[in-house]
Order: sequence, then structure tokens, then C-alpha cells
Amino acid sequence: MINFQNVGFTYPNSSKPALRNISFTLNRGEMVLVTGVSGSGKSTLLRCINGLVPHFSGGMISGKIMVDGHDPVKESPKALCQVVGFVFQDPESQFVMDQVEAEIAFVLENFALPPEEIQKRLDSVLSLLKLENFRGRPITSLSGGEQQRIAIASVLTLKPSILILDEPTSQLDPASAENLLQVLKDLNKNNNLTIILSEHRLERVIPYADRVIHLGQQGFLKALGHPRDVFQKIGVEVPLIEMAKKLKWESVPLSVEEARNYAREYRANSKIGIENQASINGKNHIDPHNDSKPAVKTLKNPPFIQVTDLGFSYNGVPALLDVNLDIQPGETVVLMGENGAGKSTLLRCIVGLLKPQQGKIFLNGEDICRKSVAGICKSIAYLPQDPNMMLFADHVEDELKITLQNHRLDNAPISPQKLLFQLGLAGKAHRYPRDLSTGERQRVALGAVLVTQPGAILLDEPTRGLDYAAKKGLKDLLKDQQSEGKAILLITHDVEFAAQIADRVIILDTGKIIKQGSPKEIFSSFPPFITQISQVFPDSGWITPQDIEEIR
Amino acid sequence: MNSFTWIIWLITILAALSATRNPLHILIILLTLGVMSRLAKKDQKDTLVPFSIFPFFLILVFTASAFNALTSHFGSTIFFTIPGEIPLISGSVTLEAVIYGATNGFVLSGIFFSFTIFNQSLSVKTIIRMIPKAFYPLALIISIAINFLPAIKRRLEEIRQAQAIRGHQLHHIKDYISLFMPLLIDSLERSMLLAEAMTARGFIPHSQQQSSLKSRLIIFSGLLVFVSGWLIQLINGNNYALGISLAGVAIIIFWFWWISKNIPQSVYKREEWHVQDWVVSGIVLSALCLYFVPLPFTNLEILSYDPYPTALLPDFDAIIGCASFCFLAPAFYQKRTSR
Repeated sequence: MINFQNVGFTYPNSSKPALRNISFTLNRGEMVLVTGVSGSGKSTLLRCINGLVPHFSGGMISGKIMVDGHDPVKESPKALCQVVGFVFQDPESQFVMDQVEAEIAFVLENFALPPEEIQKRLDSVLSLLKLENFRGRPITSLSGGEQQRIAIASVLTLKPSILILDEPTSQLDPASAENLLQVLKDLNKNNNLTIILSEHRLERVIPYADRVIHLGQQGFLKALGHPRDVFQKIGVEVPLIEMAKKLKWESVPLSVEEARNYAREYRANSKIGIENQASINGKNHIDPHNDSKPAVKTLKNPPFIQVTDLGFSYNGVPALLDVNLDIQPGETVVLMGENGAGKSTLLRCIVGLLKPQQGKIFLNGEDICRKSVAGICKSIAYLPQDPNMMLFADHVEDELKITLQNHRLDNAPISPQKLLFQLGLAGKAHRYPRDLSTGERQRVALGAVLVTQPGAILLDEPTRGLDYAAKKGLKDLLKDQQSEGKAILLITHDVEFAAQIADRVIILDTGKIIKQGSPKEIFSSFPPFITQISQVFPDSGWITPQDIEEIR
Repeated sequence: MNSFTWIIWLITILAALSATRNPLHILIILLTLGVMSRLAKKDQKDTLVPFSIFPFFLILVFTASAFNALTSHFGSTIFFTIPGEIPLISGSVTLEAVIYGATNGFVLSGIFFSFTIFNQSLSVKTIIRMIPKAFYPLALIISIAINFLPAIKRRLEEIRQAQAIRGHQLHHIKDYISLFMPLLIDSLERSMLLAEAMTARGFIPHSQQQSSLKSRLIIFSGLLVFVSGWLIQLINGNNYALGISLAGVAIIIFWFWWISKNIPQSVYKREEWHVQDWVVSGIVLSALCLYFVPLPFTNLEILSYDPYPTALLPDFDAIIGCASFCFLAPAFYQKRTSR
């Protein structure tokens, strides 16, 4: 179906190839996952299949590509679009029309299909993706997951045999991502559609993939094969795979269900139970309701951030209701909940971007409800969801200096060079910020708000779009900041990341705190937020692969 | 409601606004537009206009009044006199000039509001379908631009907040660079993404035929004939000159029609014309007739109110005034369907 023979590609004005000597063959009806760190060439590889590379991008391509009998290098993307459907990362930025039906029909009208045929294809694709009720809706009124399904529908109308998706779940919360992946699996199984997708959040996608293409850092093909073989070979920090390695299982599980079967065998074959292993190692059985993380010790300190009876409404619709929250210095609190639960609103109220309509917010004992955003943000660093919105200077170092100028801090509490070194950006001080990788850009933005040396850090979904290496870097960075005594409050949908970093977890639902507790309590017993390890070993108290290491 | 009914509504509003200078009658039309705007807005999450309409109305009326008061020095009710010999500015500032300027502001606001409501009430797809196929690339650009406006508005607010949390405050013009640079870069990145997505979906703008040498020559010939006719008319005043000009226009129209005919593109759903469209069109056109057709029970003279030389209270024709509320007809229809 798809054949690459020694394919290499170099972008215009670049001396380093993005892809080197790639060869593989994919079969009809396969669901293939393309993995690799940021900058490994995943998106480039996908764009080679439909001819966007080199026709849209420019650049030098070598080798031979054949896609269902077509040569994308010789033919144009226009010719390939009836064979290959391509869905991009951000669905909102690929829409031309403002209404669902019009958007889906757009391509068919451009191909001058007769109205009856358009109507037939439109009905069929809407039914296939269960979008019948969305037909007349404005696209802006849809959620991210729904918009992604519209984007898929609009390319499926041309009846392609191959569907390519570039990080389709990166902008979605866990429930929407799961829903979308299930839709894709159904399309793959029921319609024999070949699906190729790239993704960073591997734990989500691995159970659905038939094969994996793993690209190395220099654009080489590092591994290709069944997910089990590939992930056993390449050391990716997926919780289930890490767990399997630590428990010395011969084969790695690809899904929680599979891991549960392995765990049953493991328990049966093991001479002693997991709980007993804990006792042997000098620890009692872990009681999920009695966590012994350092956060408990710090509760006696006066809180750095204190929120009392906070209320906020958007046009009369309540977003926050009587929220009470204390964060101690040196404590990391993770705020979780579904989209629209009020998490971002809470953070924006704390930094003054939204003025609380009820209740008080104290910073180090001082009421900050009437303080300006600039005044508050001298003491609280806030990193919004999209750090790109903060970056506009020519050099990384200038971004930090601009913040100091804004706050009129002639004597910087920390020199920009030193902070860049701490952030692992020492060698990038004179680079253009927007040329950096997603993780690096995020660290530049973090530097821009940390340069005033605030006492607290607030982060809104900082793991979005980050690969495993970048996530690990962020985790280490936040641990360092925590050890310096900074209070950290972060929002994330990434349960596995939260389990590794949190001292305390708060669950927000329709503007109210419905649950709070230690990570072990929440991530082992609160259903929507149970980690994969905890799902496999529900009674063990293990929530991350690191917990297993502690016990063994 | 059919988009042609909306076009009829728009034309009647514009015609009514151009037919009167009476502030009372213009205010009634503005009132109906205000009601229409509120109803149209209810169905839209994102308004297409990136600013609030009422403050814009006040700014427009104030600017028009101030401009006329400072540049037109007629009228008998003098507020004060600007001394010296400043060209245009020096002279008396009169109540009459302020009223005349405000009336211009009302009319401009009315034109602006009516187009805003028209945009809010029709989908982007419907608007671009009204544009001839020969201009399809242009129509598509308009469609994308209209879709981009609310996104840009949201993005600008996000950038403002992102900069505010770095202690950025907007005091001087140069302070806005930190807002506009990320906005510009972000918009360019989005444009590239959209272009890539459209290429991946096989979009080709069918513009080769329009931009071919043959096409350019024909359009140029049409323009040449039109301008020749106009020049002959100016120099000799010949009657047949108008015919030459019209022939030029006909050549251009014919060529665009021919291009449109040959552009391979289909429309999957044609709009239907319902009874409601007859009713709404009938009501608004009947209301418009009262502004132009002299009838025994109306007084058309009161529509041409002039505040100069001395401002008097404008007269009011109750029948024409009541008839102006008929411009609300599409709103009643929309309200009923939304129920």
C-alpha cells in the first residue's frame, strides 16, 4: 500500500536532513503509529505520503515513494488527496467555512461533484462518524474532540484509502482523546481504512496500533514492527512498559487489560504477594488514604496562596463556587477536572486576570484582590496554556530582560544568564525563541515569568504537546523549583504526569472542589483519574512506575 | 430565510436611509436595526464585529457632529467662534452644523448596522455563494477573513493577558508592539497552516483561466471601450457615447459570466424560496414605497429636513414612522423559527 525506498529529505535553507534513508512497507488496513522525539521528522514523514513534502514545503527529496500506485513526488497533493486524507494537529486552523455541513461539502464542491452525489457522501460520512446532530452547527460551538471529528469527516468525503493524522489527540482531554481513538479504530476495522498517526502521548495510542514506526533523533528509522517488539527495544517511558521492565516481565503489556492478565500470572507465580514485598522492604502495606509525602509536613506553615470562598461567573453562569484553597511554600498542588470545570478560571482569578466576584485571595497573608496583574505577577509566575503568546523578542535572553524592564527591576533578583542555565537553555540565549522546540519554547516562557523570582508558580496544562523527554525535563525543573521553596499549582489532564509530581491533588467539577487528597488516594481510588499502574495493581498503592522501584 | 430576502431587506434599509434626512425618522430606523441586531446576536456565539456596536455608534455620531461643526460655519444659533484665520476651522460653531453632522452620523451608523446584521444573519457560505464564480478565489479569501476575525479577536485578548502577566502595561504606542508582533506571527503561522490544509484537500483556486493573457486582454478591451465612450461624452457630448460605454461594461460582464460558466464547481444545496420570503419581501418593499411614492395620507416633504439656517424641531409623519417598524419583519420570522 505504502512503500518508501531509501527516502531522504532536506528542507530549504537547511543543511541537516530531516529524513535519512527511510525504507518501509505498510499494508492495506493497518493502523500504524509513528513515534519519535520532537524534531525527529514524524510530521515530515507523514507529509511525504500525500506529497505536501516536497510540493508545499519545497526542499530536496531523494529515494522512491509509492502510495497505492501513485508517486506523490511526481504527482501533486491534488491528485493524492483522493487517495490520502490528511488531518492536522489543530483542527480549528484548517477550517475554511463556519458551519459543519458547509465545511464537509467544501472539497466536494471544489471537485464539482453533482449535488446528489455530494448529499450522498455527506450523509454517509456524517453517519459513519456519528455526527448527524452536528450538521447545521457553527464550528466554533463545538468542542476540540468534535472539531477533530469534523476535520476527519471533511477528508473522508473524498473516499481515501489512507487516513493520516498528525498528533490528533494533543489538544484533547483524556475522554475526548479516547473517544476519537475509538472512532479511528472503528474506521480502521469496519472500513479497512489504512490509518497512520503520529502521537506523543503513547500510553493512549499503543493499544490501538498494529505496528509502530519509531524515528531516531537524526531522522533515521530506528525501529519498525509490532508495538510490543518496538517498545521492548527502544526504552520509551510509557508507564505500563516501565512497570513491565521493573517487574522483569518477559513481554511488555500494551494495554491495561493485557497488563492485568500478566499481573494475575505474576501474583500467582510470585512466592510472596506484593503487600508482603512491601513489608520485607521495611515498609508497611501502603494505605492509599494515608500518604506520607512531605506535603503533609508542610501543612503547619502559613500558606503562600490562600483562596477563601472564591466565586466567579461568566455572564451569570457560575464558573467557580465557594472555592477554598491553601498552598504552602514548597508544595505542589495539581488541579484536575473535565474541560469547563473552572480550573483555568481559578488560576486567572489568582493572578488578577479575572476579578473575583466573591471571596478573597491572599498572597503571603496580603489581600491581592485589588492589586494589578503586574503587581501580583511579580510574586506569582503564571504560565498560560499557549506559551507562544508570550514570545516576541528576537532572542531568548531578551524575553527575560523584557520582563525585568516591565517590572522596572534594575537589580534583577537572578541574572537572566543564570536562570537560562538553570532552565537548560544556556546554549540557546541568542536563538530566536520561536525557532525552538515546543518544550524549549515553554521553558523560555517559564523563564520570562520566573526571572522576578516569584514565590509561586501557576501552570495551565504545561504538558500539552510535549514528548516524554520534554515532560521529564519539566518534571525535574518543577522539582528543583519546589525544593527552593516555591509553591506550585498546576492544571493538567495528564494523570501519569500528575501522579509523579503532585503532593496534593484537587478535583474540580462545575466550579466546586469535589475531592482533594494525596496523589495515592486520588490516583488509586477516584475512577476517572486512576493511573495505569493503579488500574493494574489496584490494592498495591502503586500509582507510578517509581513506586514499584521503591518497594523492590 | 432565503439570502435574497436578506438582500432585499438590506436594499430597502439603505434606500430608506438615503431617502430621509429627518433625524426622528432615521432614529426609528436605527431603533429597528438595534432590535434586529440583538436578535441576530443571540444566535451567534462570536460576533463578527470585533468591537461593541453602541460605543461605536456614539463615536461615529460624535465624530460626524464635531467634524461638521468645525468645518461648516453656517447657521444662526452660534455656540462660540473660533478666532483667527485657520483654513476651514476658523469661524462660528453653530447648533445647526452640529445637528446636520449628527444626522450624517445617524445615517452612517444605520448603513454600518444594516451590513453588520446582514453578516450576522447569513452564514459565510451563503455570503460567498452570492459572489459570482468568476470571483471565487476572492470570495474564498473573504470567507476565510470573516472566519479569522473572531479568532484574531480571541488571540489578541490571549496575547494581551499573556503580556500582562509579564508586567507589561500599555502606556505608549511602542508598548503595543508586544501585542501586535505575536499576533502578526501567529496569524501568519495560521495562514500557512490553512494553506497547507487546503492543498492537502486538493483545493486549486481555478484562477489560471482568469489570469491568462486572453482573459486580461478581453477585460482590458472592455475597459478601453468604456473609457472611450466616457471621454467622447465629455468632449463632444454625443448621445451614442453612452452606448459605447455600456458596450464596454457588457463586454466585461459577458466575460465574467463566461469564466463563471466554465469553472468546474458545484453547489450541493440550493436555497429554497418559501412563503415567508414572499411575506417578508412584500412587507419591507411596501414600507419602502411610503418613503418614495406620494400618497394622499403621507407627507414626503417632512423627510427632507434641513436644520439650516435656523434649527427647528423636525416634523414627524406618523404613518411613515409606523411603517418603518415593518423593517423588523425578518426579526419576527427568525424569532418564530427559533422557537
